[in-house]
Amino acid sequence: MEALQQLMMGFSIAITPVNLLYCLLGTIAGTIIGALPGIGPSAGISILLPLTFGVNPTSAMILMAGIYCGAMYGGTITSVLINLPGEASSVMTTLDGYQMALQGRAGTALGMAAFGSFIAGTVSVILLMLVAVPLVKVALSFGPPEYFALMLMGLTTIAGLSGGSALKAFLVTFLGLLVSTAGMDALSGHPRLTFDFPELLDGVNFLVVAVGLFGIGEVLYTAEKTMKLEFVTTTIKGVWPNREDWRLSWKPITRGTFMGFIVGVLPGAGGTIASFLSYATEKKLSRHPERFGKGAIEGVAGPESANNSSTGGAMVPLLTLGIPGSGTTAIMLGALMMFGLQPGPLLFQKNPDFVWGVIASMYIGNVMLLIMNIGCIPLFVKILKIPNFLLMPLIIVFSTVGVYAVDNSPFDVGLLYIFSIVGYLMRKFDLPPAPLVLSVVLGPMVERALRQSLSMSLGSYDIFYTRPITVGLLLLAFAMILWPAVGWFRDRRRRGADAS
Amino acid sequence: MKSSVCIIRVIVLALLTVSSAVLSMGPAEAASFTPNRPIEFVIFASPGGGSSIFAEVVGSIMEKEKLVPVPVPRVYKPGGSQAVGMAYLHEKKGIPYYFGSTSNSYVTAGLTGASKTISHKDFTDIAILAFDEMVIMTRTESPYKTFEDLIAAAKAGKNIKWGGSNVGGSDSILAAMIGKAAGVKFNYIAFQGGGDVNAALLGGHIDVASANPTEVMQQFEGKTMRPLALAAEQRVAELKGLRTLKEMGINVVFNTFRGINAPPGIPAEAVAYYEQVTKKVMDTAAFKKYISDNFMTPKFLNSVETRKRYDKFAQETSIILRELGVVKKK
Amino acid sequence: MKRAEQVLGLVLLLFAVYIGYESSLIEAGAEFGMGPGFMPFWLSVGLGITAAALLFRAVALPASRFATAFYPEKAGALRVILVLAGYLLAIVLMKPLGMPISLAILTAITVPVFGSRNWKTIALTAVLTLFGVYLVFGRWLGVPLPMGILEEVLPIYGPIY
Repeated sequence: MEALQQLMMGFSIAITPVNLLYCLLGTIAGTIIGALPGIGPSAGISILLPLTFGVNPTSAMILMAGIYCGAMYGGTITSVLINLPGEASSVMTTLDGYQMALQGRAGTALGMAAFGSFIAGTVSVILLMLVAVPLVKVALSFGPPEYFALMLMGLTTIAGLSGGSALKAFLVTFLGLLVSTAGMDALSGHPRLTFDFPELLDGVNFLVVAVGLFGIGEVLYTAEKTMKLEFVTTTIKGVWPNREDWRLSWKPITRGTFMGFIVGVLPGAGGTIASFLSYATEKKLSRHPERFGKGAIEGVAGPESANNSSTGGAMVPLLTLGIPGSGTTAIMLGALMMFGLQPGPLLFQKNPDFVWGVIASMYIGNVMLLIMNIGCIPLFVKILKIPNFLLMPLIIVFSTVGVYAVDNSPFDVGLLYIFSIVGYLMRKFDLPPAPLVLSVVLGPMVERALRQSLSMSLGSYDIFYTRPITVGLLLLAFAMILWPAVGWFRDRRRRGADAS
Repeated sequence: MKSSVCIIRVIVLALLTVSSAVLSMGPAEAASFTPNRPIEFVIFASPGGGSSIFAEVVGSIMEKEKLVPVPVPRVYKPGGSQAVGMAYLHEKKGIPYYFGSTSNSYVTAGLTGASKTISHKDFTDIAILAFDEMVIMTRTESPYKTFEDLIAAAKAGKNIKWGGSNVGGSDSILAAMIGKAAGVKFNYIAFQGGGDVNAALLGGHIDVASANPTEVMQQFEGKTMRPLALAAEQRVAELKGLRTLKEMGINVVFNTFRGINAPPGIPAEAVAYYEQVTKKVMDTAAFKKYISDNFMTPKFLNSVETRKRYDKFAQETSIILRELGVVKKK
Repeated sequence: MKRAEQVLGLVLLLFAVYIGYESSLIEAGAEFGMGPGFMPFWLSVGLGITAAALLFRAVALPASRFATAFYPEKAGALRVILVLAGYLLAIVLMKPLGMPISLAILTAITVPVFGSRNWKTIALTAVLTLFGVYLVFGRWLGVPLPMGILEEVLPIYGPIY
């Protein structure tokens, strides 16, 4: 009950007018910035973080948590409406969300995403209070070999994510992994495949790839066809998902919430893996996997909940140990230090007002987001009514500035345009873009974990079958590979039986 | 098309005359230099890290205490292990309206392959303001109670896993220097950043790691990590009981400097002016709070001393970097 | 489409061979396990195999198994090329003229491509882009945009003269 008391204290801090204002400002600014095509949470936070310098730590953190949550949801809006993910974790949302928009169900997709995020966000804040301390012990037992097994499990599901030719999915995955190896190899300090560009030493930013392939690659395709994207705008009914939608979505939301929280707790894994493990799981468990990629609402509800829930999970190692669980919490950690707070195991004891104030305001932020978004979705959907000759240049301009603003790098702008050509060609050749983006994100993590493990064991492969969690995860990865084969045999046998 | 090119040319020419007129006014006023347009404080890294906090603190002090009569906006140019930001600053040759935030990696970038053509020698130095010490630690459950235990185990041929940031970065240089001085070899494992290293250390996946005190002070207080040694010249006040490597007979001193530099070829009056400003920054309460919050050592080095310090650091580390196999090939 | 996939397979195969060659030049830097060149090399082998399979399939399968239309019609191709030219122009001009101007030019090129030939619309959107980018990102959000020739006229920091 102590946690509950402290949470109450947190709420008393969070609902002071100043902090409430910061929370509101954060969610609004975050949503607006995130909803600008091409500008996602990472660009949003790197633009806004320096501006928060000088505010008192609690208020600044509340502002940032608001910006973060808002930008995440803003990214969902662009993913659904114009197929433009602002963050790696929204890539899965584009797969079915954009299809739903094309079918005139943009409002429903956004509504379900908002409800799913809200439910997941709420549950994850509660989980954060209840199980933070025991869970962090489990998270720490994850060393490089465990991460390798987890990432491998992620990789094995990539190829199965998109319908269509498996050969093409594999081809694209290899391409993405290759792109991800460019840059300075941290484990040896050697530059590789940088072709003497210093800008490439830190690797290719995933955002450049995602915005290039999805956003302005699509613009080029539209230029060729010069068609108005065929949205069925007449049937946009509203934002409230109907009973059938809820029937389909409640299980994915529940599973996504717990999966997201657990993956989020693991330092370094974060929302991307959570969202796409959720998508892969839903597709595998579904009785109609063929609906995925064609506008299945489960494909929006699951990953969106998992993603949102992982933000709560990521706060666990940050607040209990001072270790960031995701890229964004890493920036938040930096911000903490900027404000003169030392992150670490004593943060809960030394600055309880700060920690619980932030947790409580995350909750309030979730409520604000839900109200704001449900109210604004009809407005957002109007984006689809902007004529092409304005919308397309707008997407190009915002994408350009957004990609530039992440690292203030003109080089990234050039790279963005190159990837837009790649995206256009991939679209022409029917090559799925999602595996490429995801493998760019996962590639470095898999490689690093593998090589760290082998360094730890002085080159011996024993390390992969002498650690129980590693073995379990590796078996799960193999099961994921074998699952389609099992299904295929079962179908075949059944068909054989029918025929005879 | 032709005419538009002409118009642009005219505009550019007009601007050039105007700006050169403005600049030529400077020397006329002779020795005294006063900035009359905003000074960009360039950070060669992303927001959140040590050099970003330094630049935000120093820049905001200059603005708030009116130490300079113009704004000092902070501009982030990360990438290429500092090389991208360094190239950006280097392009502003002769313009005294840019600062750079320097740290160890600013010097090592010129030694490793990261910055191909530019090194620390190609900039104007303003000053060094402070030093960030480095502490070596294990987790509390670790069997290594003292630093000597660790060295003894390494001498006995045990696989001592030392975690840190990328090879070529500060952690790896420190590990290699200690290994060399003590005559042992550590199994260095690179992680993506300080957070990942701390997680691996707390989980017992690595044996030992190093960090700036501010990053791990709470871990010591919370008894999750145990400090083993300090790589500083002298003990620090907040960790009184912690011995330095020198006291243990290992002759290694390694710290991170926090300094300011400027584009090459800026007027001497500007350098003198900024040296004075920097001194005034160090006298403010806000700067003193920053130093004590982060357990740093304040020390002012002027332009000339700063260059000497960089050169000495470059000389010391280039040997280690060559042994790590990451030195630039001629 | 059949021919196009053959070309794609071949291009990717050559690309894989080139990257494989480049990665084989990366010197080994690891004592244990695999060095920095290991992953790029074996990934390019994987890419090469899948590209070869794609090429083989594109040669072996009958044309009826592929979608028919691949190459865009002339007008469509022209529009794509125009947008690409806009990108190129924007990149080249970004440093000398600054980002707001180069994006305004890009807008002026792309608005007609996507269907409005009305010169008033084109001029208005271009001018709005210029000032919008400067005001929203430069002034309001403090993004250090490259301003090129506008640096003195439209400063990002400090008062606007």
